[in-house]
Amino acid sequence: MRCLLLVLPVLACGVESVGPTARDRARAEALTEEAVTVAENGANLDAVSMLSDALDSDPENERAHRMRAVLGERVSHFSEVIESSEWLLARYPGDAGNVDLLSSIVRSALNDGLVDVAESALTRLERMEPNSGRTATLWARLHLENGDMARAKRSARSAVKLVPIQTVGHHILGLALEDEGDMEEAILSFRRVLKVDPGHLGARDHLATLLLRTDRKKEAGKHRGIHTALTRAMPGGFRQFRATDRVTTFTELVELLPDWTTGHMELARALSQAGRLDDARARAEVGLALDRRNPELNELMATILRGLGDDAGARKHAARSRLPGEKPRRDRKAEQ
Amino acid sequence: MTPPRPSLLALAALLAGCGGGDVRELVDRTDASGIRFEHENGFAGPYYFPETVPAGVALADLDSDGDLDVYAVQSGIVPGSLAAADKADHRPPNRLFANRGDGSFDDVTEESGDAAHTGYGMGTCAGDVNGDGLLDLFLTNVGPDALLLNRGQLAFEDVAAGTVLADPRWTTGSGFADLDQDGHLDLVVISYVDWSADTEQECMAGGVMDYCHVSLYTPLADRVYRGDGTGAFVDVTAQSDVAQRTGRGFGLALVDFDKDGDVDLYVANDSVENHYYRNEGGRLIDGTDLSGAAYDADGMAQAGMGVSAGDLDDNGLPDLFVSNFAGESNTVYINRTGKAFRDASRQTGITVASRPALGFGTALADLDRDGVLDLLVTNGHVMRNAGREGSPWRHAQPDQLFRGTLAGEYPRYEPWLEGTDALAVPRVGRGLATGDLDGDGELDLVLLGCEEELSVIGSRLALPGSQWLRVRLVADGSNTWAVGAFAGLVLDDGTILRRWVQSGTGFLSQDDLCPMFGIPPGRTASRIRVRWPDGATSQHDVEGLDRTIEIRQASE
Repeated sequence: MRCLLLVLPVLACGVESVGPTARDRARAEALTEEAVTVAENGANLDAVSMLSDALDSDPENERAHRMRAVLGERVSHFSEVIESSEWLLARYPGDAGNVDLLSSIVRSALNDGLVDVAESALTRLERMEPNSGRTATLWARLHLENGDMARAKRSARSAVKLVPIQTVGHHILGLALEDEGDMEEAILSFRRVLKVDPGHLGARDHLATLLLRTDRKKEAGKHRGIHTALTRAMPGGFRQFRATDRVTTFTELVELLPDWTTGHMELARALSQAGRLDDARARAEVGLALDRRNPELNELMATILRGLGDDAGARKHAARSRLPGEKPRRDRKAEQ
Repeated sequence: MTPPRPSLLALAALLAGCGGGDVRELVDRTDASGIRFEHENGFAGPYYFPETVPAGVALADLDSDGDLDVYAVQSGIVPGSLAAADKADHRPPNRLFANRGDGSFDDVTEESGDAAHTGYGMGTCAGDVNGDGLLDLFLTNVGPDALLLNRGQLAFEDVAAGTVLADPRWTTGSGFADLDQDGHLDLVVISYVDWSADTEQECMAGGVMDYCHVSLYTPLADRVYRGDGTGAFVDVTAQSDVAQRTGRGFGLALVDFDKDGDVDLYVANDSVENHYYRNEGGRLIDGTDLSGAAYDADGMAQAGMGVSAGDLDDNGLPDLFVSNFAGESNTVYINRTGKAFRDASRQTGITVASRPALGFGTALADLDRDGVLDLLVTNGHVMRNAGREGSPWRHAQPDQLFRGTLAGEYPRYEPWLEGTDALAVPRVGRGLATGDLDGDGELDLVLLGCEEELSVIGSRLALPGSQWLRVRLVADGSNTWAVGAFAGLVLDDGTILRRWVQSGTGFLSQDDLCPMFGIPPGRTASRIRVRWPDGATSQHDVEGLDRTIEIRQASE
């Protein structure tokens, strides 16, 4: 009775919420729009925060979910990725793009230590995409996380057979072989990882150690030197970087590893943050020459070009950057 | 704070063997212990980096009456800080609590002489440096360190002033060991970073002022000192490879990792590679690159905090457990050969549960006396505003206990008693030390958090029918507490339970120097093998369990 007189009578009386008002929906739209602009300027963390605010106002805002599912993974907000991806899966149960959403859930869940969530999503993914390299690679990651080296090795072997040019499968295979004591085969696996990603810390570290243990000291020293430089540049956990330090560090690293796309990208990012936009563009071009379709690098290039006033160029690269806010594949097909 | 989950409570009840009235649990005994100690880090507005780290705690029989006393390290006001000028008279001392024999304590700080040390304290370790049979203490500080010689009757004298030991740098971990096997304890002191109030930097985290990341400060080299058995030490760092590496070190483990009869050194570093040195003829040789224990399995340099060493996989070699930053997993390095370790964290099952926590104090202890070491970690974030809105972290965090089992190539660890009362209280955990405070044969835990009250946790986890044996080793020479010795208790089925006498344990702390063995139900112990600090070995019959025995090297 009294609760009818209160400001929040609905909650106080335990009556179900009636959902977002028109005002809530408008706020969510405005926040999502703002998040697009913020993301275009490279501030993905702030964009994800705005998208979460938008979804607090209107949990049914599809565009916000779609953007958050993509951007969230880039800034390690994995629980948000899982939540938005699950929302999209429920909304479009038969969509062809759901395999991407499911693999995103698996990766995010594994990164967050939610092995059960990962296994459930992976089981669903396998039903949709059996015998794929992606599925096998994710199984290898899941088994590794569970400490089941024998199954991790089997899945990794399947993965690299299906997709020979990749890092995760070869790395897990290397770890499993090292665990078994098969040092020469493990060394081969780690070398394969580094061919694809010269900046792979784990492969570089294990290769350096195994080479030293097999008495190849000179080569081991070379790999250890690169690994040490990489760990100084990309330490784990919470970090407070200064842009000028990063320019120095990554300049040295890309001299060591000229084929390392991520290194060129990070150097371009640091140059951009230091206000050296022309240098940043030049460095991003070097990275794009190595990996033209790299979404993060294209996104960075779009931001740099926008800063230089080249809106046409920015749009071109933004289009290659797996832009958030894409519609489901089914809808895109219908539009075509 | 997460309330206890029904499923976990059910598990705890199951483990407790409910129905027989045999409750197995951890119980907060702080009030009953009589210990009142609250740590101060001096935070008064500005964020001074040293406030993030302290402090450690020691459990040691400092009055040689057979029970464990408690020495708690205090910090106070950061040297050179704004508050240091305003509160020049506020110098809270470290405190000494004497055990009455039953696990209750008297605060004897006022009568303890220089044990009432007032430096900005970090950690401590214990050992007899002058051969008088009494345990001495070394203290690390931001500012000059201290060596407290035990003059008896719980009175201590700081003899470091004016010597090489009064290192003015920011030191953290420390441990004694007879590195050159001359019968006298040497000392290893770990340094963190080159810091002073003048070089303090201002940083933002998540949009608010908070502490800076350690990578903004220059790492330092650790130091090695040779003791002559009188309490005097000389700096011999330059004669070892320790001088060749810099790190941002915290915990250390001084154990014979390669089973060649002398003590080796492992150092956990914050955000750079951990270091491993093998002892060859008294000289510490750099084995880091070969070790496989410098980085995690993903090749990352983790934020190493605490270290514990013990034989986790029953292969006879001491393995390592290292606590790390939130978002990283704690790490189990399995020792395969003495030179080569392997990160087996995933295989042991600790990664998932440990990733959300920022681990500091660590201990390996067989709490349920099933013959397998369990893992303890006390957690707490370094960032004061870690719990700000939108952050997945919390400043104060619950402690964690992992129950160990042996089945197959690697040990397995499952979260144990998660969410139950004594573990569920969130704290900004730092120091942790283990020992049997009340002589009941069960290990107790003493926890000292940053800006927290010291906690005493009693364990009632022993399996019904299990037994125990605590061994006081007395070595030849001035290292009377046999620091660095190995003791292997041989059970009637041939199983060997292995312990190492370690000075400087976990995170800047000191566990009981007397090895404690849990003997599983239905088993008994027949003999004990000892490898003494000078490399000599001996074997002794075991007559009677559920007690502390003394074994003297000279008696052989």
